[in-house]
Amino acid sequence: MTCLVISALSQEDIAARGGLPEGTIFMAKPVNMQWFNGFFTALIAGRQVELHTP
Amino acid sequence: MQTHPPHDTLQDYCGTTYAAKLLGLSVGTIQTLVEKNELQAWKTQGGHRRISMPSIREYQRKHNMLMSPNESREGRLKVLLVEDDAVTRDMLKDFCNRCETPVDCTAMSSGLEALIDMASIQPDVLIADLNMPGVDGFELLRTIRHTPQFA
Repeated sequence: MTCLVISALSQEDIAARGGLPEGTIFMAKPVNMQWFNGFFTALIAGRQVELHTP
Repeated sequence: MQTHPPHDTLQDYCGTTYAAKLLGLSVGTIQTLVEKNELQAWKTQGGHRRISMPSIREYQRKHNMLMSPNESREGRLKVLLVEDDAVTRDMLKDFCNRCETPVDCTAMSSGLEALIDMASIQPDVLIADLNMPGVDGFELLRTIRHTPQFA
């Protein structure tokens, strides 16, 4: 499962609270919809590659 | 409504929010159906409702909801969105429902709700805010990472 965090917290604040598990993707608020569009497109493309890779 | 589950396996029940999504009904209607015993449910010691998945499937069958939502969503990217801010949550959910890519988004307002329904939803992607009351994003991610089923 891909984990994406969206937050207005700074990297310093996040580190002070224990940080994020390895592999977690971070996106700073405010939310950028164009970024999300690319994010979903990339995930779906990656899935297609996985499905069609022997 | 019972106070204890008949059996407590991860996939056999879900929370009210996910039950509402599965049946295309409001949370209030789900609660009414539980009170009328049309859906089997019980409450945890903390007072949270758990709805039996077999009773949801039975309700779908009885009301000719022939295509189960899971079947109809096959091939779509399953997204679980956890965000306590209603404006951001609705904006992202609407975006997912509108966008051309095949995304199926379930939106929840707390980390606790997400943990309850994670096993039923089995999302491909978890999108979570960090600052939330109760189970926040940090705790949610840590719990998931320590649960082999989701890691």
